[in-house]
Amino acid sequence: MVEDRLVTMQIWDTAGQERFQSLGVAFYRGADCCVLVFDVTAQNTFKSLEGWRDEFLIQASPRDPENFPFVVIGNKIDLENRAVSAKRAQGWCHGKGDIPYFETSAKEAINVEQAFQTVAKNALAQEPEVGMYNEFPDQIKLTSEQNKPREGCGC
Amino acid sequence: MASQNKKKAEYKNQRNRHHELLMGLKSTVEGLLATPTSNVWSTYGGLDRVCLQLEKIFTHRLLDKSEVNDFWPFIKEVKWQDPVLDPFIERINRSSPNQDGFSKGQVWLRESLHYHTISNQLNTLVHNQEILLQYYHEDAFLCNPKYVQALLICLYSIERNKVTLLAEINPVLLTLRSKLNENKPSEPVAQSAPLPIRNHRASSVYDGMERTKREKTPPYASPKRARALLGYSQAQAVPIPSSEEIGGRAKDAMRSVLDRSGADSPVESPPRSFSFYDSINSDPLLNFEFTGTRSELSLSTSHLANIESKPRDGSPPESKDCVDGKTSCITDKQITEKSHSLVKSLSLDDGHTCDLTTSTQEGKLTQNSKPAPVPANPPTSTLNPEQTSLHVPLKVKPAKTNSPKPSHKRCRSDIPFVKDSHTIPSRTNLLTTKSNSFTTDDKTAQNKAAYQQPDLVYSSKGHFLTHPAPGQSLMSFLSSQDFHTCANLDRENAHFSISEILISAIEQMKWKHVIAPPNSSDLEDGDSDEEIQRLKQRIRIRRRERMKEKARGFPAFSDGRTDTPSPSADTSSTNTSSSSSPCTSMLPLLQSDSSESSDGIDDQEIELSITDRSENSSLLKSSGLSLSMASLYSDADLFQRNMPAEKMSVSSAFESCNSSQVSAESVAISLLKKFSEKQLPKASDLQWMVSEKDAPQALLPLPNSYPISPDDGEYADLRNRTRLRGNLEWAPPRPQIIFSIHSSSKRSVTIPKQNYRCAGCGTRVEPAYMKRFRYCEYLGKYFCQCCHTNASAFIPGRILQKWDFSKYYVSKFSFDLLAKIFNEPFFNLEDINPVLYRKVKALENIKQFRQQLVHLATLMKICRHASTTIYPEIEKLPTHLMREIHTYSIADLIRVKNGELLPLLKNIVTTGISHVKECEHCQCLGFICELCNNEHDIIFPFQLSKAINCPDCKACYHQNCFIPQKCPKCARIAMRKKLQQQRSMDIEEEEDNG
Repeated sequence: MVEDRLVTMQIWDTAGQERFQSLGVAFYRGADCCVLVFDVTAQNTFKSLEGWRDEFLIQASPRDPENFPFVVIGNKIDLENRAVSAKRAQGWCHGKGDIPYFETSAKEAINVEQAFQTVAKNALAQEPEVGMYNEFPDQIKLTSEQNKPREGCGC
Repeated sequence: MASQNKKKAEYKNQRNRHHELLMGLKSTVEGLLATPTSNVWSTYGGLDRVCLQLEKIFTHRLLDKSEVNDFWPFIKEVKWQDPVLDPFIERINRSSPNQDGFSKGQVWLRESLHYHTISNQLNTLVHNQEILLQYYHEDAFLCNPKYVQALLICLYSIERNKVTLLAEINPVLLTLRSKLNENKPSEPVAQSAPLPIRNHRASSVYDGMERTKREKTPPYASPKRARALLGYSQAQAVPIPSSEEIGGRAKDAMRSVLDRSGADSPVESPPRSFSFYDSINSDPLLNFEFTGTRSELSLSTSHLANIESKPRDGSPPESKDCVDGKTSCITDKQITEKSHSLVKSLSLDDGHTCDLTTSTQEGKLTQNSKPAPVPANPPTSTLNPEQTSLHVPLKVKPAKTNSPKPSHKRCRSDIPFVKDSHTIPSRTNLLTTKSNSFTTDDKTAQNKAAYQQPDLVYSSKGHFLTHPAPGQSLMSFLSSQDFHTCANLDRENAHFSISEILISAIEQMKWKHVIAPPNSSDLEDGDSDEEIQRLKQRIRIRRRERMKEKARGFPAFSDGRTDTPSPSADTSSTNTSSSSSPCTSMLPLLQSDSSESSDGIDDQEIELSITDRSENSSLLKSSGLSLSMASLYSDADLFQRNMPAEKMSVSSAFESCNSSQVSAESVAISLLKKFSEKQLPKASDLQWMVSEKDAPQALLPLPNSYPISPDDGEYADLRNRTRLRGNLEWAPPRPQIIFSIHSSSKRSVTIPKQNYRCAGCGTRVEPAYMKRFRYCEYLGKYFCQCCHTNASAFIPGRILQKWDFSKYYVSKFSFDLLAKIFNEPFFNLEDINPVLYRKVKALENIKQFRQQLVHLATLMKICRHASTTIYPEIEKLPTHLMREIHTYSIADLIRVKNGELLPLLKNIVTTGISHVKECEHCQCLGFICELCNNEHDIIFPFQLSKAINCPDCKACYHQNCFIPQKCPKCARIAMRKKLQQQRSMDIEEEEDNG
């Protein structure tokens, strides 16, 4: 329920897909929102966010790349050995057009709810006029409590 | 007068008796050897018959002090004469006397016959007159040197399984002619044409006798012929022909001279009996030498046999002779080689020169086997020229080895030298003495190892590095080693040893000259660090070059020629060593003399040798014999046939047969040549990193008997047996994956190549039973019935090359191997035989399906739905089907042939594809061609006809859209990487600043 509207989220996890190189990403097309997840304990996952974002924008070729809703999630904050500071992540998000940033712990269920609320909200905001066609929530994503959406998550 | 007559009569009597005995033995031996077998004793009853004859001989006129007419006490003397044989004798002595009702003497007879050691022992015994007379009457058979000689010939012919050797028995003995006649050899000498001889060869031949497992006689040699031949070869030794003498006379003289001893030094004999010198001078030797050298090998060999077998007639210091003989054996090869090379390099026409050089060289050659003749030789030979020739090689007594040798036999090749210089005796002497020290040392060393084994095939002869004698020069040590005869395995090992020698020599030099404080000022100034370093550098470079050459020279061994030592490798050696050795060996001894040849030549020589090698190998090829085989039998023939002009010594033909020109030792020698002899440490001073003792390399013996029936053959311990690494004659089959089809060759060709041994277990087969061996289609070799039970299997080579799926008989070994690899994807069609794809439609189709399957499989694995329905099907397939699309196992190929694989794959692929079409999930995992960006055409990599994958990033594009090397995704990735690097650098900087 987002703002009184019933939303079904379909979440595609590309996790590990880079291993199956010959798998395509046709599902990028038509996505309403992209959640970039990284591991706060692993620098490299944060660094590759950029790449994933580019790749998504290219593959999905959204009509308005500048304003396409992203959400960045720094996962695994339950762990002690943080490698990416919240400040740095926030800085990066800010640089990319104020992408909302959440720090979550899937394990402890911290902030997951909020993150996906935001995802839904931003996605809905993208298509106000289409909002009429509620019955056919094409490609609107229903969420379970998946917190490791798109790429980047190192775990 | 009366008494004289009586004596004469008695004498005649005895002679008749001797003759009888000899004839008895001879005919027995002839019968025994009549059928060609690889082991004489496999002839039924043969051993018994020979024993019987020999017993008669041994008991003839035995002094009666022994009880039952047993000659055992006499035999026991062997162990004093020849301590090495002691254990053998002791064993028999201790064995229960009545084993099978045989007396000890009889047991000894059997055993030593069986092990082919009898001639050796007998040789020892009969040469000691004292002992002989102690046990026998003067007129005993064994006391008559001529007959003993003949006896020995018989024994040798048994031991070497050469009926032709019998031809060397003095015909006089056989015809019962009077003694007088014997002195004048009346047989026409078949001097002329067919058998041209080279001197070097001949001489070396004798020497080489011992070491031989060779063929003694040329097959064609009839008795007379053989003799004549012998004569020739000896004659050859005499290099300088002067045409003074009349042909007939010369012939006679030569003959006699020759007859008397191969080994007899020319110097020795000449003055006395038949004018040796005359013959030398007068002889048509020239002709011999240069005309056609072909038959020499065999000749000389036969001669050798002869010599060997001739007992010494009480001539002076036998032991010394023996020593010489041995030594010469050791080195003769080298010599021959050397001479060979020399000769080669020199123009052939100028026989004289050639000879000279050679001889000189030899003289210089350190150890060379052939001790120079000592002028003051006792004229032993006068009476029985024929018998004088005693090279009694087998008889060496270690103790005596070091003693100075008064009666050296001279190597023929030396003669010319002597002659030439006219200073003959003195000079030679010098040389000899010099060389002697080496020789003896060598000898001793070798003796320890190799001693006493008459049957050299199994003996240690040269299979290992012998230990250097104290004071032996490194060069001579290296060149004295016989690496050529070894099996490949040993040759490999030899490489280690040699590199070790090199390393330690260099290290020691370094220490001496660079590190250690120079204690004497006379050391060469030039040896500063720099120089040594430079030299070392050069050495390294050269070495590398050599290695390369070597690598080039030896084809990989993968041709399926598993078991027998590869002929190509083997063949090459002869010349190699020959070429490089002459100078090298000269170096240490007489640097001053031989300097011309020493340094710069090296490269040329090597080249030369390479050519030689190829020649040789082609020879071998043409003859179709594997080397090991060749060394046993036919080298002589081979060389005769093919290398008429070359003067190869027999020994080299045999023994050296074959280290390649670029053999390890020649490389080592040429390297070390760069240093002056003074700097080189003595071989015995080397600090061996790994002593030979620590790493015994003795080869295990092979079975030398035949199993009577397959069941009681070696089957039981077959498994152990195949663990042997094999030796010169046989090596266990290796588990090879053979892709090709063996060119069918005849049984009669292949089995001899296998040395009449089963390829599986090494058991010998008697040639007569060759037919019983079974052919293994996989390995292309013949196996005994134990190792080949007519199991049949698919032959990968036939399938791959001919798409031939019939089963063929294979050996057990192959059967097991094939069973083991049945499911292994070892066969890459693309690499092995891409034509198959065109030939076999099914394969082509399968290739497509496999390509599709590769891509489908991942989709099916990821897809939530398919992973439970379709993927399990895919998983059942052998995984290699999804990985390397060109690899097949035999099982796969059979399924292709059966038409099973194609439908199976087709089925899976079509269901997979149809699933993808239906499945939303899978559709989402498809690609949208980035280049045309057609959102509605989702493409998949398995759509071979319209999609293509970027080889790098695997992104999928329309075939039409994609431009190789211009994949946009790859470009992005590259760019990003660059950016990222830059950024991370920036960040680091920032952090640093911050």
